[in-house]
Amino acid sequence: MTMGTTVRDGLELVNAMAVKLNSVKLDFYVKDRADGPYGIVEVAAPAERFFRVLKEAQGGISEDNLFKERATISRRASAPTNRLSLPETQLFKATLSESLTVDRYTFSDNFFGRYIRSVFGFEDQVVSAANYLIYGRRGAGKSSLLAYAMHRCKQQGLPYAWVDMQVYADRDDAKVAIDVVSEVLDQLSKFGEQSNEFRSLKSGLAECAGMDDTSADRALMRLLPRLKSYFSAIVDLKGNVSVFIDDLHVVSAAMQPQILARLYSITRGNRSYLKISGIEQFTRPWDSKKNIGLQAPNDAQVLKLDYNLTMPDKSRDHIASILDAHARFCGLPDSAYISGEGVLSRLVWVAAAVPRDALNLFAQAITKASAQGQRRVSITSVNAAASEMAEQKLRDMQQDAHGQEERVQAVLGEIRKFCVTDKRKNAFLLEIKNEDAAFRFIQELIALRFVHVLHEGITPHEAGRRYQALMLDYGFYVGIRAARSVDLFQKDPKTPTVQELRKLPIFTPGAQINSIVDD
Amino acid sequence: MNASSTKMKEPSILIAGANCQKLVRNLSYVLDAAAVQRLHDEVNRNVLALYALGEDHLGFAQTVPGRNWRQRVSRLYYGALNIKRAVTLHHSGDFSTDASDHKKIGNLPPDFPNENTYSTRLTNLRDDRNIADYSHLSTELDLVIPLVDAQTLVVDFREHARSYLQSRGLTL
Repeated sequence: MTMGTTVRDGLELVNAMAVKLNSVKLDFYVKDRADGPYGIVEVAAPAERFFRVLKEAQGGISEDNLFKERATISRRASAPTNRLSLPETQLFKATLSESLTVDRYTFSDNFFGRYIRSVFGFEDQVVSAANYLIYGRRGAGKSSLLAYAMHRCKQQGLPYAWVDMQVYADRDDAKVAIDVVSEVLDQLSKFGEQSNEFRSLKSGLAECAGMDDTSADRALMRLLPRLKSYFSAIVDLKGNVSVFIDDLHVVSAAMQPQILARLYSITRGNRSYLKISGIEQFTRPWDSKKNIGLQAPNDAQVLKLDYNLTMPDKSRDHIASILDAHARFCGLPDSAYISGEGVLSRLVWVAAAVPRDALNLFAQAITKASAQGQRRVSITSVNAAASEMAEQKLRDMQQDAHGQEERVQAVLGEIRKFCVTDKRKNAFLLEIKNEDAAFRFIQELIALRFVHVLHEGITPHEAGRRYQALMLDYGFYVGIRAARSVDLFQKDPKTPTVQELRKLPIFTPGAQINSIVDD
Repeated sequence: MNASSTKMKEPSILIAGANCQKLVRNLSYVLDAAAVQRLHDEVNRNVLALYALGEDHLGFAQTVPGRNWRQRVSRLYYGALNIKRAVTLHHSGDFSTDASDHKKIGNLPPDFPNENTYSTRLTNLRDDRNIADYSHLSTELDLVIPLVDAQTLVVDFREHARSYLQSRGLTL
């Protein structure tokens, strides 16, 4: 055995492990023992996953590799000063980036081992035999909650279908309902037999493609009783059916009630249930003029995941638990291991309690801190990531509020001027006037994560006049030199007191905003 | 005849067939439920005795002063080995007194908690025990698992094994 053999064999083992660890090569050294070399892979907090990866890697390397049966994972003897340079941190960053898009395949190898429950524990409800409308802003955890319910179905062998509505984004034709029903039918057919009836239904739906919208919808309605029977047969064979509709809001608002109406005609009283997610302000489950769709709470129960910044302490704990779970999965003791003081608190404010934004910001902050030669993630690096996040939100707007970009930018500009230039405070009060177009428009800015709710309604001065306490997104003033003098609302996330809220300046939408929203 | 054999010679459930759990399964169609239960009880009695043997070694290891690192590592290993044998006897019926059984220290049931971690760490402990018992050139610094960590490993393994066997209906 030569030094060259030891190095070659060690490299083979580390490379084999890297294949299963996002190409990240863990630290490795050879312990020279009386009975020969022993391979030691070092990890800050070894988790079960690393031992599994080691075993799999050992199974795949050459038979004569010195470390085929003589290697282990050890806890690092001492914590390095620069923790951002650790392979575990690189793995953490990659894992955070991967977890930003949640769909039916996320964490599919170990979903329940990695899933973090929602703040209010909606998991027990969403799996029950009922229809649900799950609301929350982008990144609040809607798809994760749907995925939780879907994986429960999978675990129990129950039939389900998952429709990602992004595929149908901006569709405003009646055939979108046909396409959705057809997709559901395809997925459910895997739980039953590909019978003649299935083929006949598929062919019936396909024929609709060549018709005009009105004829196509009528044709679909004629097929509904047979579709209902087909669902019923699957229920009898396999148990309750669940249909997951993710991001309903991206379809034209006019078509949303119609899609739900057609699906509900099939599932109603048929031991089949609809679980729908969307951004509340852009979701229209019920058309009150046509009396079609899904009406809450009679037809579906509403689960609201997003409480903005009204409970920042709870949000802080939730975000910490998600980050820590990912950190442990990557061999770090927790996220604080690579963070400086105050980072988590700042993250909650900057992400405005939206879990996915927090993960994204933290991953970006790792990159920025590393590039600046910092040893841990700092508040400065979180701030720098925040301004990039604002750009991302502006891009998201094109999907969530298509066609409204200019109006949103204009109103946002007015609020930004009020906060950053005029008052130099990032929080403000807005009088609650539900009939007022400007007030309603600002609620859409909340849905788009440009403005965040600190309190749903306080009466700071005159009785009978209630105000919403709001905060302009951090991305518009932190990390930007020109806006450094803005007085930030609170340092540590905790439920704000009435005294704190009363001191906030009152923003009154002026003539300019009114003219924009009235357009 | 007393159903409890205390010897590893005939008659004993452990040498009645290559695998006693398989034996019981394959006899259950000719025996009545009470007889099958008596066979299960006899297997379980052996599982408990193996577990107790492991605990005995572990208890002794904990009294060995740190300066006697060789003896301490050796007893910790035998503690873990016998507890592992209790687990596999109950799970799959595997039992052997052959020397090659040591190589199977890492073969745990797939549903055992942290199966991969224990599989690797117990194999490492076996390698440490080998140098502790047989290598005159080795020192305590050669250990892959430091003495204090080895004790934590075996104590944790004992706790997980206890919960695992309890979850399978044994009273420990």
